Amino acid sequence: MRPAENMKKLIKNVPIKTNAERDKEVLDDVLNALEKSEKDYSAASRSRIWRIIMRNRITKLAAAVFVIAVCVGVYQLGGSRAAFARTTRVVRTTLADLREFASNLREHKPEKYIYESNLPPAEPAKPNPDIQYTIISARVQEFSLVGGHDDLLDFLETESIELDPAAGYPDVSYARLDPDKTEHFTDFARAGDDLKLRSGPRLILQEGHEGTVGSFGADDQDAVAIALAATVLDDDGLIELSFSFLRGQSGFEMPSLEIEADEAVLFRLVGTAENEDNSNDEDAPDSDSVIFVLIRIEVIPPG
Amino acid sequence: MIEDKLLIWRFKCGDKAALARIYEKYKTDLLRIATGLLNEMSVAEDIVHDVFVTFAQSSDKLKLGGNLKGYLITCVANRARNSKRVYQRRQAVSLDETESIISDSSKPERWIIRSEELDTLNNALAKLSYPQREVVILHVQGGMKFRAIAESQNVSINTIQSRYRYGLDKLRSLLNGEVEK
Repeated sequence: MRPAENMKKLIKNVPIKTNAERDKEVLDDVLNALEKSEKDYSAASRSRIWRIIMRNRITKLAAAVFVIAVCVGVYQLGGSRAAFARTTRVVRTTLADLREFASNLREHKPEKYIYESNLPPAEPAKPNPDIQYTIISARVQEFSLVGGHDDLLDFLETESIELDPAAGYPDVSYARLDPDKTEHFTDFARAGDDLKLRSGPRLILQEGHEGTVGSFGADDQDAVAIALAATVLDDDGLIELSFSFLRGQSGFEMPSLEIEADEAVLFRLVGTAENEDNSNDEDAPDSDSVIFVLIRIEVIPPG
Repeated sequence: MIEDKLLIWRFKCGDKAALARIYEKYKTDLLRIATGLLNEMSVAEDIVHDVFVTFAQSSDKLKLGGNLKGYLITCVANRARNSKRVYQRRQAVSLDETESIISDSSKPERWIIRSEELDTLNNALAKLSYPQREVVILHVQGGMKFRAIAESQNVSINTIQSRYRYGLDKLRSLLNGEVEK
């Protein structure tokens, strides 16, 4: 190796170790800073919304009508039922206006990301060098739909593979596959009539830590990035999987999924593939915008 | 890179685990760069600490086009440069006192655990001029491209490349024995 490269290697690889206690202290400071900033931000947004309401004549009027309607409603509570119903209608209309206004407001905040989480926040990953972690290996195969749907639908029906929609994210559906079904699916895909293998990355991650499975789809905008965290639940190989999806500026987390060690998860992602010309096949209008991702999990015990 | 994009997105959503992961992932690189730039561990530790805290406070306004590591390294480099300027302006600390500060850094409560290799390298880096040291560290340790360094410092790419060449030559002569190992 040339001396210059030796020098670069020496500079680059100089070992640096940190004190675990100080690490934790600094991390706590950093997390507290995030928490405080989140609180400040939500207080600031409330006052900003109020400022926006008061700056615009129409919104100011809507807010005023809303307040008056509520006051009238409260005043007439002791009066006739018809009067109360009329007031309720006014309040409802005003609320509808305000809802529309709120949805317009959202357009003024493009920097705020859409985030729907069905999971409690995960514990921070703190790798301990003294512990030998179980390693999770995920073999990932991405297939694009090249033929029509018919044969694939027949196959899924024959194998009793039902793809359930992922709650909160209609573009993703999934199914757990036992080893037999997994093998049949890969055989079907290998036949090449309907499905074409695009890539087959392999992910190695420590138990309890999150790793990115890959980015699937045509380009940066439409591509879906999938991240996976896995935890071994018992000695029999029951595994809990948490999947996160990110497309463009939005994403979601799937409720966690429990599978056996030799099982696989099959995902169907809609609207991700390249937009190839399929004008010759009118029966398969959506076939080129579907991707299947098969993830097979393998547990490698410590040592 | 995809992992970083996911982490940034989750961090912007207020996910503490994502921030913790960013911290775990980059703290060592940032500490290595900061100690190389300043050769004073207490200041280097403070700078990295501040960079992470400021980063955590920016979750609602952060608009990151480039890569996360480059962004954090630039934050450290900017703060190190400012700290250097303040230090030069004061010029109050004598050489003996500096020595005692460095000695203090071996106390167990320090964030960085000192090692012989780290000390040897940082002492050699300290003998380079600051601009040369900065380019060598940002390019070799930080993996930053010459063009990116030139843009961040508002100087020409040729200047950056010459600083790098001279810096590396000088380091080679200072660390001759180490390189042969």
